[in-house]
Amino acid sequence: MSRQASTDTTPWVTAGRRRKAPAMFTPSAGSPLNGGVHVQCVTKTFTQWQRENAGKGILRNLLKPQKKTVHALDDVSFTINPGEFVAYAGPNGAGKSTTMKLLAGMLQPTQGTVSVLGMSPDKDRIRLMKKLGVLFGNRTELWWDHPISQSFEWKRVVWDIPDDVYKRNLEMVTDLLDIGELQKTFARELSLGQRMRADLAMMLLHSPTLILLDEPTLGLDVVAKRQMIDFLKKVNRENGVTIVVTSHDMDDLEEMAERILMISNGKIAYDGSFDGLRALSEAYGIETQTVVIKKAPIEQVIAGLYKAWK
Amino acid sequence: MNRFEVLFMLAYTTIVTGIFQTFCSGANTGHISRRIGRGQLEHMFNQPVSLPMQLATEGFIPFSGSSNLISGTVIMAVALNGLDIVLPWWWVLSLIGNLIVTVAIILGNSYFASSLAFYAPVQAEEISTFVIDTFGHISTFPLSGMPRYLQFPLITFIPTGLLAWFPTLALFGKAPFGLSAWYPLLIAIILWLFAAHFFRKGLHYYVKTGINRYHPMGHRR
Repeated sequence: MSRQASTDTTPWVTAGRRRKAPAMFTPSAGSPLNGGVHVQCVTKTFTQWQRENAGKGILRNLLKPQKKTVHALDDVSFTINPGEFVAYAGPNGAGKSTTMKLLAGMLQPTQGTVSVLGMSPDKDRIRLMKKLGVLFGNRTELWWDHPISQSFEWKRVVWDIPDDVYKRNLEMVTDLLDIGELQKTFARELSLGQRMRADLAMMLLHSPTLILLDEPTLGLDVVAKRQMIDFLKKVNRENGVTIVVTSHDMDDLEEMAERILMISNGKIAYDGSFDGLRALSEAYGIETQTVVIKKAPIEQVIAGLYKAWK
Repeated sequence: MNRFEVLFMLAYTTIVTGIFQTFCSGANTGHISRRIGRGQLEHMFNQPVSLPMQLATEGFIPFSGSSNLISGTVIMAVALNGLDIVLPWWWVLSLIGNLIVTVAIILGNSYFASSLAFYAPVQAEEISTFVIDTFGHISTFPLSGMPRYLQFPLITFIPTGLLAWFPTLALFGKAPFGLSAWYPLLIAIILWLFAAHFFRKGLHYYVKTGINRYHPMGHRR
């Protein structure tokens, strides 16, 4: 699937008003859109120290500490094509954040290969980061004791964003994410929803080709969540930006993404469409509260599937 | 050492603290074990800039960090006035060079010790603070009155004597043990080589294992 970046000024609707869009966000000039994400036979294991709190166990902790090996990812392979909007779902501890960190170059796989936009996150980190946008819902990239505009300016300098691209993108995110009023405010004084919008805006200033979002809707209220989902859909559909998003809110994922990758116990359990997931649910004989399985809330379908797989 | 030389030494150590605070205190770049132990290095992997460049440019806090630098400079002026000696123009360059080397030794110590935080993030989170503070406290003692068997280890194995005492004497042409005035530079280079080696090793371990204790406190604060 490939989408062309739009540069027109198609009228668009925000908050019930019909307005003219700013010059649209376009992926980095010259950046190949044919890269995508390729994960091949990736295994990631972690070691967990085991501790006992009573009797001989305390002595054993000192003399012969016990270790447990956890397989966060077990021979995982998948490909994400340019322009796709992919939901990466799974229960707590399934390996979602580990995968995101592997794609972003924050971790290295124990085995297997990872290629992002045709580059190795480990070896080509600096080049890749010019084209990648990463956002973790539980952390901020904003400078805490500075106004938001200062963080944006910092981003412009560090990413070496050309002035015209910066101005165009800043105008776009200010308008779409409604952060005009926030830019003079210190990051520490923002609410969670406002901070997430500012973080999302900053992430997009360098025109990333691929966006990795780990739990971006974490803790957001309905309005803030709505705003974020609409924005991400717009960026994906109109600008061809590839997006991989994790969330526990399956309804949000279904609304945003066309494809869902489900991970369970470190393995890919399902890769396909949401309708395919419902069909699978039907095949497993999973009952939902809704009579017609094809209209069943995806949350129930997925919960049922995980139960069946266990 | 006479009393104005001691005063000069105290001014020297105050200026060193001021330089460290001004250039290395922001975002815990000098106290790097905090960032490692809190899992905050991941923020650095997201930027299209090399890690050394990020570390060299994030720590600058000119307003809140320069009080020691200013007061130390004033005290040094008083000490030099009291010493009543004529110094050649290049002496100022020599002073600046010594100050830079001293800060490099402090940073080398900090990064060397902080490499432990890659392996034991909880236990070693504050190790850089411990190392910098301990070395700083000891460095304010003039070692001239101490026996040589105590002086020697304090300029070699535990180089606290290189943070103020040795440079002060060297700047006035009285370097102890017949050592060259360049001796602190040699120690700084050796320390940085060790620190770079162990830090790089720790970083490789970090990206293989990760640190599952992310804490936002101190990240860009």
